Amino acid sequence: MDENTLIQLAKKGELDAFNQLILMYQDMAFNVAYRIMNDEAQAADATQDAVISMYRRFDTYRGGSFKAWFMRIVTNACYDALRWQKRRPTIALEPETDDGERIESPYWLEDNEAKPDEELEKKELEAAIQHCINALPNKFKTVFLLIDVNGDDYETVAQSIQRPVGTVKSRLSRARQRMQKCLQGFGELLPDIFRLNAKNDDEQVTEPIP
Amino acid sequence: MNKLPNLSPKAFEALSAYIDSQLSPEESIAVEKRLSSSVSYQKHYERIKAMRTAMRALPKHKAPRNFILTRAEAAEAKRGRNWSRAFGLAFSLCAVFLVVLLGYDGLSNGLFAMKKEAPSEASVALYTTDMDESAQTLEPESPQAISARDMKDDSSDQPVLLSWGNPTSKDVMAGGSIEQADTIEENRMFTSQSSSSIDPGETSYRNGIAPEMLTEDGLVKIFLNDPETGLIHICDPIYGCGLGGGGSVESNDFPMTEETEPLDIQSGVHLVDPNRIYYDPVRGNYFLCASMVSCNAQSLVAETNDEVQHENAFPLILGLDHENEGELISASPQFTQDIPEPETAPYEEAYPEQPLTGPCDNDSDHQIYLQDQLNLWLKIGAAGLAILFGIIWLIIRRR
Repeated sequence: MDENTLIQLAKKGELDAFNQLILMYQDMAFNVAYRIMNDEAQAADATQDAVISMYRRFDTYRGGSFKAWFMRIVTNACYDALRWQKRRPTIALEPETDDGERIESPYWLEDNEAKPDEELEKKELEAAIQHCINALPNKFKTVFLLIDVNGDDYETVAQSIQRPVGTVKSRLSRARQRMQKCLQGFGELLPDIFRLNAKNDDEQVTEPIP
Repeated sequence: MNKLPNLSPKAFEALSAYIDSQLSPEESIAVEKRLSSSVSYQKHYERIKAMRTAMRALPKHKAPRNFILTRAEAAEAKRGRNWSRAFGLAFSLCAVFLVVLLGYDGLSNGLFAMKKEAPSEASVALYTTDMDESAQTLEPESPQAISARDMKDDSSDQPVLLSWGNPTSKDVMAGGSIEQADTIEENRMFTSQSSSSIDPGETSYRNGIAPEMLTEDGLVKIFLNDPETGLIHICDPIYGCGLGGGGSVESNDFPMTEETEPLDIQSGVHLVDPNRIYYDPVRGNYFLCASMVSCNAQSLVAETNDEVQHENAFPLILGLDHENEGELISASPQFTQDIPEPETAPYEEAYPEQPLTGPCDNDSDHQIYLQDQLNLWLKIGAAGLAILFGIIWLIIRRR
């Protein structure tokens, strides 16, 4: 059955049709949730909450991209969970230093000698990127994850966040700027392509950029 | 090693959108033109594109399990939805009820504003006239009128004294003599013994009117004492006297028209200072006195058949409303501290206090107060319930 048919059936209360729709997009939803929560268990909880919420108010779905609607509910569920966590701090899962400071990116302290270099590099990059994603403001983070990580188009994301395409464009641009700036701090951990410093003398640039 | 110069936010956004093919054809051409001419711009382009590629190459975390709902979970989800709906509906109803109450209040205040009592004062008629070629334009108000109004009790319904005619240079009919009351310090009363009738269109004055008989702006009253009936006839230089021939109208109820019959001159014409007129509310007598202490039976200007009781008298300012063809109106009685209150104050006679039948049960003001209180508490209750239901609804929605 195609998506539209499933949606019509789900609106009538067909649980199986609803579950079919969930199965179609749950990986994408969980991936976004994971990138926001940075924790698999919490991402799973947020995704489950989002599914329950969707079922509860499925009759309020007014059409448009179901994927966009799903992503919106998932991201909202994630931010709600993060707000709850702020009010009720839990035991840090991240290791801490002797002074009690969290080590946000412990990956680099792991013993990676046994891992192949390429895989190691990928892990390092992912960790650095995730670190910078965590530092983004929520409204930039959502747009950045949906477009650059999920691969959605601007129109779908505009439906998700219920804003015009121009807002999506602006927020994504600012998210990318911040990501670049954040990634610079990782220096040698990053591949050359991410470094904004000129590598060779040939790359000296003197003209101003307006 | 030189750093790559930063892009402006606008330039960065254009480049970012260009990479995602989100620019219009014209904008794309502009970006491409710049890319071909600027090395640093091209570097930025490569950076952004590389970052986007890296983001999309990030490993995708698959769902660790299926997030589909079981029948039981679905039923539970619906139950929660029903509660949410119930509280949402309750919140909406309370909010609507509150809006209706507020709207009703607004409409009531706007459309049914409390009626304010009409001012009890009679409107002051400003009067100007030319009595004849030599007549002067009258002052809009006589000092007596002003003084009467100033001394008037604000709560009184009594009309305000109006100005009225200037005395002309007409001669008083010959033959008259000034009759002085023993107790009056200055000449105040004049009695005409002329047998001529009084022309309603004009009034004759006796020669030698004492200046004290005139007001500051030259106004004067003329009282005609009818000894037979004891009634005062009020005469005006313009309208003359009303109800000649011993009219049967009592004092203070004396409509005057221009078509008045000549008054019997034998009744006598008195020129008096209106400030010196005292009124006995008990007997209805008018006294012309220099002051209260100098009032006695000889000061009587007009009387009833009853015995004179001047100690109950108080000053009374009388005037004529020229706007209403000389209708007599009177100012409020002017009470002074040394004048005892009359047995029956005119105001109290006219507006006796209504006794309450119970503890404010029949008091309309109290009813209105109770209604207002009920209205207020209904609004508070509706607002409180709306807030409560709204909070519960939001909490349930988030669960």
